[in-house]
Amino acid sequence: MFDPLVSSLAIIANTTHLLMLTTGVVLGLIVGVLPGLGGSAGLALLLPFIYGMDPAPALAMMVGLLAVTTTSDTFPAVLMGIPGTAGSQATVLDGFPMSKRGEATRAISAGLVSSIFGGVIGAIVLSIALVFAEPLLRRIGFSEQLMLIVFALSMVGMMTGTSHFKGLASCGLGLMLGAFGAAPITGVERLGFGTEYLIEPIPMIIVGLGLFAIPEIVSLARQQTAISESGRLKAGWLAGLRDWKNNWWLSLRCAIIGCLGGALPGIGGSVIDWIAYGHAIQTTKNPERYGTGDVRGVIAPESANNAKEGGALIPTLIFGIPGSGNMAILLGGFILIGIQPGLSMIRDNGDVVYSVVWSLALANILGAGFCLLFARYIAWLTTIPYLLIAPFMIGLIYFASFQATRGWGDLVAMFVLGILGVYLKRFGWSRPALLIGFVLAPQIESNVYRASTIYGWEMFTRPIVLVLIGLTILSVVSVMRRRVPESVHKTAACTYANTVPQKAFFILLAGFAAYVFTDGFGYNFLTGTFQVVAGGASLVFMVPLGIQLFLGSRTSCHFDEEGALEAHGVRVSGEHYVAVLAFFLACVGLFGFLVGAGFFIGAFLVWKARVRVHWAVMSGAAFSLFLFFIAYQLNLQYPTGLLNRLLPFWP
Amino acid sequence: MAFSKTLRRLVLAAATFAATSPSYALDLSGQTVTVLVPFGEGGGSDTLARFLQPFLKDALPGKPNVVVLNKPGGGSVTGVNGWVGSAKADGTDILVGSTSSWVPFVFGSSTVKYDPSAMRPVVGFPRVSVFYTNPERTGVKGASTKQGVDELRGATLLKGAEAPLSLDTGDLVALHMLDIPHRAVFGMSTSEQRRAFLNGEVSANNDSLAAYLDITKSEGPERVSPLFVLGGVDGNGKAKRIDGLPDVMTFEELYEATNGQAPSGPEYKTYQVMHYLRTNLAKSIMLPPGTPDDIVTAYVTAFQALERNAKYINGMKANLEVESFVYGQDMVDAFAGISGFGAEERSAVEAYMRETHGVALK
Repeated sequence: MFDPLVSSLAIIANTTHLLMLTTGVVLGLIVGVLPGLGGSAGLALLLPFIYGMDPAPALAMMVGLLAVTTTSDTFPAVLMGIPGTAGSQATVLDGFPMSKRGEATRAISAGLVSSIFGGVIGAIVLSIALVFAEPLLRRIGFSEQLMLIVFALSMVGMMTGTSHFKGLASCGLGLMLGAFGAAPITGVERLGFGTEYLIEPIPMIIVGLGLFAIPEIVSLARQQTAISESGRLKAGWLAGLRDWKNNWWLSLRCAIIGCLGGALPGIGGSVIDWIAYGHAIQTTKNPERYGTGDVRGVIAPESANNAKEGGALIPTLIFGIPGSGNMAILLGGFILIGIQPGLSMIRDNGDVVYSVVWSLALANILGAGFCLLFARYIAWLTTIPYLLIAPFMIGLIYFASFQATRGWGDLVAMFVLGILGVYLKRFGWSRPALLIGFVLAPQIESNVYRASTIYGWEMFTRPIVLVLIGLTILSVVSVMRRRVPESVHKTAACTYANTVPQKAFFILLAGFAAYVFTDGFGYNFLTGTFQVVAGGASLVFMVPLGIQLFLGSRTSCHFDEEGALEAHGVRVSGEHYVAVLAFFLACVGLFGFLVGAGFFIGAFLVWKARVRVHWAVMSGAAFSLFLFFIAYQLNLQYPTGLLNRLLPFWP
Repeated sequence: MAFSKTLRRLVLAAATFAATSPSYALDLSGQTVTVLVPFGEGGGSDTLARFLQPFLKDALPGKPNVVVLNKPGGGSVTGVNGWVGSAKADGTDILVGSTSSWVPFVFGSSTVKYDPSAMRPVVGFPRVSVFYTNPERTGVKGASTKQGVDELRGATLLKGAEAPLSLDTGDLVALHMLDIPHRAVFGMSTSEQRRAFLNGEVSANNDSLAAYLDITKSEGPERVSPLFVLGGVDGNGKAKRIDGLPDVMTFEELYEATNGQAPSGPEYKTYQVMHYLRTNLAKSIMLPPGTPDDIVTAYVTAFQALERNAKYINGMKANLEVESFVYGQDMVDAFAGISGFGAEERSAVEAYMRETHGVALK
């Protein structure tokens, strides 16, 4: 039955095919490394040229592109703390601290090797699954999906940080943010505040960047060092390879998690890296070292996120039902080359189908190979004084957020969530827990309703459901056993004398939860219930947290980074940089995004980094030019400003 | 001397211009035509736009540069709102119209700032669809008959729907009118509904003809049985069958066969509006409100000329599931058809949702 596996090798082993594959890979690497752009933006570029092409090379190009976006996105995640795509959010957690220690090269090489490995495992699993997986996939109904989500949610327990109540309340906050936008069951607009922007949920990419990238930029800019705190870059190319070798078993497990997560409906691709990360904490020694720059925290998500694409191809090829957003556009490509995915295609066109498998494996190897070539040079970025990099990063992040709905609303949402992220970081709220809650919120809502409508209590008699419940219990037990006990650290952040700011922030969040909770009662049952539950759950965790915070002194929930920063002699306040972020919006509002971003960069370099004016002007112009080039290639229309309205010729 | 030379050149240039100017009033040479797709990359509208891009470039007068602009958000409402506000009526801005943009208009969503009947349709790409059930779950084979409906009345159909007020409302109302007991699971996208049908979790589904044929091929008649077809509405407001499935009745015929009279009333009107939306208005190319007639004509001519291009026809019919190409008055009629959803229809749907599904629409 694996005959096509061999005969398809002949299809891909020719020059045209390899050339197409390489083209796809290079394009994929480029869109992967640019924050906010993912596989779908790249694939859309190819679509006009696909129609009329031979199926096999066209497929090679598309698969090559999709396979490697999660390879190159390791660069911004590790080097800059910016998750380039949703798949690399967890990589930031340990990859970026490694860069701060000067170990960027090591982190990247470990990440890339994991990517190759994960990608190849994904291809192998895909090749087997195409033959065997169909009956299993048919058994994954709504009750199984619900249990998968509950299982994924149990990973939150591994990411609560030092205060468990604060961690759980963070997750509740995520659930509440996930409730914004039209209700998934009834389509009724909910928590929209009358805006057109909030008809749809808050875009995932913006939440990810706001929570992880913006706070890092602000805190690095305040400390005014290079990313690598010593200003040097340790050699670590081979160390990364060794790291992977020592953790190959973890890497394999995470790759399998990635395949499963990609193939099974319900969870959605964007939490898979977090599940792998949580799994790593649960199953390895010294769990307390994660988050401080442990290389295993890079290997786990990077193995999973490349394996995910192979997994997502399984339902896409077997049923013609997209396994992810990327797969939806790949299906569009299939349609244009005249391929109707489905069981009959696997039977009749085995060669073509298996050429996808080969292309996937080859693309992963090629992609990571290219990246390895450049890794050493790109890693030097971490030794440059951060104030020189910061304005470009701010520009890039706003650019990335703009990809969500291509409008002003994205920039504003980015700004608001960025502020939230800055204070969550400052007061030690768990951003990973929040993110998991946010991503799973709509899934929880839909699947609780679907499973209970279709099955009622009967869902607990289904075999796969029982297995998943067992797994979840195991996971929860391991959380209980392995969690670090809540102890009061004598760090400067925990003993910071002025507790007013963190109390004020708490009151703000509690007020928000109370609003979401009560507002939910104003809707009909199917629309408002989730909101009530999310707000209520948050309040349940916030009440004991509040008691600790206000009545206890020096308890584990007290945390204010200012304490640590003051000890380091940091003068510039976080609010100052929030104002800088607002200044960016002001520039865009005046000049439009294209010119405004360049102007902002120039101004920042002059006033903050004390760069000479002509260099600053050239840097700003170069960035605007870069934005123009991307807009030209991808056909984007940037948000316009006042001058665009007044002067018709203004770019 | 110098002056007369200049003059001669000018006269020559003017003469050349007059001689070579095309017979269309529209000349887009050197210009850029922007095709707005009110969704992100991927999906039906985007694929259609990107397929059309190279063909349009050659077909439009003056061979303009053609680019696709994606503006996602608000379930396509944001993109269309913006387009109506900013699109130039000179033939350089066109929209890929799709069902998703018209449904919120029909249901009177407060966010919609456009009226599709004010836009100028160029060409429509209708699709047809089939409503089918799973005999393994219902115990009824060959359901598209009076007897089939009678037997189905003894079962309870389970069907996915996007939302209480959505395109799928039409299917639910149809089941209600046929007196077939049914339950709905709301909040499911088209592909989730297809997957749930494949898994046997829901027992009824409405999907495009191509998807229906595909699922019949892979699952066999034991698991897929057509109940009625939505073959589009003709100029007289009459529902059509599908050529490829001549034995399957339309909902109207099935209703008449079981009840002895043609369907009518606000519930039927609701079904009919959804039928227009799902089939006749599935996908279309639109020019903004206020576009002059000669520009619309130039566009229509360009698309009609494309029908002589075999590569275009093959791609549209075989790959993109387009059934036919509809121009002019037929498109205007179809948009007039969706104006039928008024206050009476709305309160009928509200009553039905409250009584049958226990869902309040407030």
